Amino acid sequence: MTWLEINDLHKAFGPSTVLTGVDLTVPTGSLTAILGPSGAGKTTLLRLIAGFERADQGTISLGGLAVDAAGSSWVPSERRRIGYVPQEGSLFPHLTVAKNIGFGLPRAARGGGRVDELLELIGMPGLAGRYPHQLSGGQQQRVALARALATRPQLVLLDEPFSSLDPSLRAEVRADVRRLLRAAGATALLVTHDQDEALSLADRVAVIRCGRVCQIDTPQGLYDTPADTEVAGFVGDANLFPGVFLDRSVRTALGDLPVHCRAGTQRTGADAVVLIRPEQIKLCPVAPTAADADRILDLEYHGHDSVVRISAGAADGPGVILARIAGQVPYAVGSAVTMTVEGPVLAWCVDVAGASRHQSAAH
Amino acid sequence: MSTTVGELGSAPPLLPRRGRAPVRARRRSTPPVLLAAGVLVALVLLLPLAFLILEAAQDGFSTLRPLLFRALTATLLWNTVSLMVVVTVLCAVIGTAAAWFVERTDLPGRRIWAVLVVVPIGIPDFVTSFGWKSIFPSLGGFAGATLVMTLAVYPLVYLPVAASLRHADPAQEEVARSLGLGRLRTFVRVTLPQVRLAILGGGLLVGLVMLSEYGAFEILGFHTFTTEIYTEFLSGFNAPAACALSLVLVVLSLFLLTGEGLARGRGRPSRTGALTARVPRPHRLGRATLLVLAGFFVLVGLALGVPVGAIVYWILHGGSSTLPTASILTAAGHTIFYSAAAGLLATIAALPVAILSVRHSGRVSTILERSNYLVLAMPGLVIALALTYFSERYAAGFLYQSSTMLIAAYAIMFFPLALVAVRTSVAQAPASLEEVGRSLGRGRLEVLWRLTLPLAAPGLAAAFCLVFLEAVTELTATLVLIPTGAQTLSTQFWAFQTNISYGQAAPYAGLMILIAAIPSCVLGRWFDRLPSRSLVAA
Repeated sequence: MTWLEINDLHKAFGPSTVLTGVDLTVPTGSLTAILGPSGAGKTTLLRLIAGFERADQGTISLGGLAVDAAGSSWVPSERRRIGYVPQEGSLFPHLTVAKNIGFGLPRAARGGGRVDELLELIGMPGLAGRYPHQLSGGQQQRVALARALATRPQLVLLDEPFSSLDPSLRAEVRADVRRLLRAAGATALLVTHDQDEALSLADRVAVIRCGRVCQIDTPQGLYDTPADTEVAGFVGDANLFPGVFLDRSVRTALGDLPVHCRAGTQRTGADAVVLIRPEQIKLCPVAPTAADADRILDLEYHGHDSVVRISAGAADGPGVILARIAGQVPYAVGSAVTMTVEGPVLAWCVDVAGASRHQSAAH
Repeated sequence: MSTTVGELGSAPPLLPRRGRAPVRARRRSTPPVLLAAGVLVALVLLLPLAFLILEAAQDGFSTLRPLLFRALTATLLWNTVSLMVVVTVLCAVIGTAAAWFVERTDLPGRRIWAVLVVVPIGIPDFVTSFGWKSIFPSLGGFAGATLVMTLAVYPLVYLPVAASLRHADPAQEEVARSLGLGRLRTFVRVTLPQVRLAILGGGLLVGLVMLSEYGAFEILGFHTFTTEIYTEFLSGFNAPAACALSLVLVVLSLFLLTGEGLARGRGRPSRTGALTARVPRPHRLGRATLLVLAGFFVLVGLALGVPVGAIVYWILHGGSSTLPTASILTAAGHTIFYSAAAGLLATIAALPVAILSVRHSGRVSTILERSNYLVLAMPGLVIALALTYFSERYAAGFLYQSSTMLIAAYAIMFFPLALVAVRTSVAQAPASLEEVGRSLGRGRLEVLWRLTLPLAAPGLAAAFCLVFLEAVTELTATLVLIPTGAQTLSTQFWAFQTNISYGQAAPYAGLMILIAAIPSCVLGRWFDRLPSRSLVAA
């Protein structure tokens, strides 16, 4: 069952268009992440759903009822049964924790069990009388979520709720939020520009780019079968190789590789763009004398793994290739290596591959 | 832990409507109540100017022309403008220099100086003028007016510049030094641009005070537009003449306002990083310390010592053996009542205007901005006269010399001050808080009552204090509109002062300053917590 449904949504602020035909459905009870670079229109989309802005064109429906059908119907924010958690938490500075949580409740219920229940749920039962400035960033974020959940909303909207926290705290608060949303059984929509966050937290991820949703999938589906090269680069590091389709594989500078998924015309002999994730590349040492050998450019040691940049000796292929090696790398900068590819790869026909082909999209 | 935190599907998807919530899509969602309140305020603010123009139109250009184009007008124009320019420049220099020494150097006793150099703002200009004149009876003319007015109003520049220096990013100066600029060039190329808007804003206030001041010039025998307008008013209600001169004065003020707006340009000083920056290391004055200290002693001695000393002297030695306790208390009661009522009225009126201009930019808020702007250009005397003429002409004297009209005049005159304070507070409360409130199912009015008002409370208190303070020390409009039989501290002081009964006048001045000192303290604390930009965004 679908709770939120958005059709062909357009929004512009003066001359600058922000959303240009967004389609999105969010199943009831799911946690969907909207992932996109800054300026892609993520926050605008969230504000339209919350009812803080009005759409220029298109419809937004909640539970099958149109709440914003440009020109014909409009339901104000306070009647949409949503919970909203803004970026900075935005707790009311003049109210205590308990009063913040109880803000949306009817007057009689504000001092009652519902507030205690939520304080218990967020693990802060002793802090009811504190003011927001007396809380840590993580605690503020938990209270903001409790405040949003207090009225039992049907849809919870979270606008980059973890970006203002320090990295060490982020993982912990993230896990808490996921647990709280599950416990509340609410449908949730999370906006983020952090692919790690989107992939690790959400059931479904919608990638938004230039005012449109360009792919919706499960986190794994998105990582394994991105719709085009740009999405591939956005949800992880990507090595893109030119290739030619063979019968069941694709021929690249790194040899003939089995293909697990193809997009576009599947003619044998057609040009292809091949995605090889860094963790698929394995390295072997070779004699340092080989003139056109691949050489290690530099190493980044991360503890759990290392990222290696390799300058390719072969002429056709990306000039620099990323590889991810578990643990420490037994090579020095400048060593000559050969590369092999493990597992099947994804290949697009050249015309559907997207704008940034034949280059390594790494970030 | 509870298991029933949210029951899915147990409730309808949308909450029922409460009241008459609009269902049809509208472009702009400004609440009608707010709009109506805003329009009402704008109308009241524009009343005085409308009467003035109406009056001028009835007299016709043929009546006004000989009144406008005569030698007297030229003299008044020269007196007013030349004094305004000289005093504004002097105030800008003194105010900026004093602020820099107090905020950025190791001047001994900086905390005490920071208070002492501001205190003169609590002394009404006509009292400062009285202090000087009572001790140096020969003081007067252009030189006298320059001296007295500069000493009376330089804090108007000092305050915003000091606040601006306090909030400016000291790292910018350090970067300039690291790029090879010396102390002086750093000051000219980095520090001055940081406080440029504060100087301009303060200068504008000084200019507007110079155009509207009456009492100080009357005491010093220096003729400007205001003294002439008041004379015309006294001498048998020469409405057309007063009206014509008033219009010239309004046009002058408008020039000043527009000029300041243009000079601001589009550049805004910006800072990146946290607002709670570390305190900059003060510049070392070294051998100049003594010289600067002497300067501060002279400044405070002249601006504060002379008027306060004069009041104390006249109270002690004025020969007022019979201190009129009863009449001074009655006068104080009137002053407090009128001023508090005006403070309340102006603050309440400023609230819808502030919310409209911060949250709902649109045609109505533009009109409101403009009417506020026009009020800034109306000296208090002109507002008082316009209300008087209106009452005379169109309302058969209705409300004339009633406390209602005096309170209304105060509220209109000082509305721009109240608006600055309220708007700053409303703007500081993030809109996202109100959005969260709405998303939690609370209606617009409830959000206004439970979020916007409590968050803006410090600004509302500051607005009240500002208006109260100004009204307590107001003289000109009070002289015109004072209810028959009533006296305030300022009118009673004026009456005695005019009779050269200095000993009897002094206690009234002293009490007036004491009453005005209380809201000043409240305001000082509020101003300190503000980012500098809002101070000069008059």
